[in-house]
Amino acid sequence: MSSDGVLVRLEDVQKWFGDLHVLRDVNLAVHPREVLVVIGPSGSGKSTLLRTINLLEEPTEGRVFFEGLELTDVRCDLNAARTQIGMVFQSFNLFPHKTALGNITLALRNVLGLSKEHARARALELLRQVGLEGKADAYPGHLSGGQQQRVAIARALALRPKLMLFDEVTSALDPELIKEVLDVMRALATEFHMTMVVVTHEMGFAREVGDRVIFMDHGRIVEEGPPGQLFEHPQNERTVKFLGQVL
Amino acid sequence: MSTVVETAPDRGFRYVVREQTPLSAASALLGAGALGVLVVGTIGVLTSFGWTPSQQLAEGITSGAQGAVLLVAAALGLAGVALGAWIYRRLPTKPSREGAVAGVVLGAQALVLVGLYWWFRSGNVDVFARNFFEFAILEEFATHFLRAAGNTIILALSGEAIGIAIGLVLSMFALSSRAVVRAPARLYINFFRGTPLLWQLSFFFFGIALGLRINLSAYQVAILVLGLNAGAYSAEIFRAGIQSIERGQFEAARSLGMGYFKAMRLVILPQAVRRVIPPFTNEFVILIKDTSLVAFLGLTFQQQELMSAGREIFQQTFNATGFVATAAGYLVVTLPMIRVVTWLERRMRSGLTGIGA
Ligand SMILES: Nc1ncnc2c1ncn2[C@@H]1O[C@H](COP(=O)(O)OP(=O)(O)OP(=O)(O)O)[C@@H](O)[C@H]1O
Ligand SMILES: [Mg+2]
Repeated sequence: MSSDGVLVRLEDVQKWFGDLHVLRDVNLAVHPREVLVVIGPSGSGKSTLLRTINLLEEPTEGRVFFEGLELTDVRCDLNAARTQIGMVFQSFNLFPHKTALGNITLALRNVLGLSKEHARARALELLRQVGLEGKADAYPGHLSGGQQQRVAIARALALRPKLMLFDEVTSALDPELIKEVLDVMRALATEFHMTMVVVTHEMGFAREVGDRVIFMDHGRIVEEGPPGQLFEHPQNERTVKFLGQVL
Repeated sequence: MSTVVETAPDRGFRYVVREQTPLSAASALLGAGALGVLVVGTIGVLTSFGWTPSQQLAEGITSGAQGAVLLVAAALGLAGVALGAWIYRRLPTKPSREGAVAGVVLGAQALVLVGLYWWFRSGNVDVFARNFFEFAILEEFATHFLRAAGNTIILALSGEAIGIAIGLVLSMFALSSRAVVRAPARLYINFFRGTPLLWQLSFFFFGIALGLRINLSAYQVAILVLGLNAGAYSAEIFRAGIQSIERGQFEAARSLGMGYFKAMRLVILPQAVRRVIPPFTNEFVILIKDTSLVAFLGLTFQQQELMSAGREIFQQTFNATGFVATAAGYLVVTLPMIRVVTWLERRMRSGLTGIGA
């Protein structure tokens, strides 16, 4: 942990895709045990912001710190840092050639170097936690969307990360499957006090579980505050307009 | 994902048989009988006259008995076609109509074959049989021919093995985001795809091996060049396969702390390899046939593959029967290879869902 007690820090981050300015002057700090919710219209740069935190996108300018370590420094061991940062994607991205168990043990075996038995035991424990103990040998193609997403969460958690990034993880799911995934995330926040950055359109979840909400528009963090304040008394007119559309 | 093509439900042979009406069954039987009489009758007649020497075979082909077989087959076929066509609209169920269709199609096939055969036997069968069907001369070359088939397989397999190794590495280079890494790979691929294999074989053997007095036999150079050439094609196949894997797979792997090569080896390549098996089979079958170009280098007797063996037989006997045997030899080599790869593909698809999986 860095001296200032901040887990993630973004300093003056800018991101361009060609001529498109996707992140503008982004400064952000995420504290341990905090659940930070990111909302904003489509194309506002939420995913890009999230992917910048584990450097799946390299910022064009600015610096990214994780536990005081500068990830944007070319000498930084990104692979080691990424084992500490779990990420869950909108489209699951499970490995289709591996079973649920195999998806989880792949990195345990080949990145952390755990023994076969040890990796298997840990994977089964995680599958149990997300309510899928019976599906260890199922291939992703034979699982429902909600089940796949829970395996994906278990896969990320298996590395025992200090931070979890969730990018619209329920957007590809049918309404009746959304709850089972949100329940897992809620338990992660309330029982395990996981530090989480959550991009979501689930405003109910944001209000209930989030400690802090940031609203993004056109690549800028326009407004931030505790969910009660931001949802009930938004200050910025763009926030007001956005919330009027989604609530 | 593409749409599933609707096919008629396959309800099994017994079901189809049970659904036939007497007339539809008769039509199907007439058609099948026409083909059966033609094939079995011809084999019977020719066997009774003898397949070798070629004069006997020619006599069998032109014999009255063979003519009778053809006439019977034509009559049956015609009856099958006529009956099937006539009853088709009057049949009540789909399976029975299928019976009528089978009668028409089989009967028509028999008629076409009878026509071709009739035209063939009205020519100078004696000369033709002497040149192409003098099977007796193959006897002497039987072991040579088997060894040649083995050499064809060795050339193809070792060429392919080298090709896979080169192709894997090249495809990685070709996918690099760095132009300095990409450029040499593209140069290699375009060179070997852009020049004829025959030129490559000649250049590396006559030009480099002989010209520079490097101690390599034609056989060794052939394996090397087939491998270099297959490497270029394999690289493109691998590249397309890797590029067909969604970016999210790579990102998921990286987010789990895997480096570039680990993500490639554990996540991307296993999926890509499954996807490229069909184009790979195709490439391999082409490679098997391309081994015939090696004949051009002049292999020693022991090293000869199927094409050179056919040519060897021709040069020694001035008879083209060796080429007929060569064609048969290629089929005997390629068809089982295709079966093996199909089996492999089915096995590797376990767990993956998709059309036909
Ligand atoms: N790899 C890329 N290349 C070029 N442009 C990109 C790339 N990734 C994202 N963009 C663009 O950057 C902008 C922000 O994208 P981003 O995915 O961060 O938005 P978002 O807020 O997550 O939107 P959504 O709610 O639709 O997921 C969009 O205009 C998008 O088209
Ligand atoms: Mg997004």
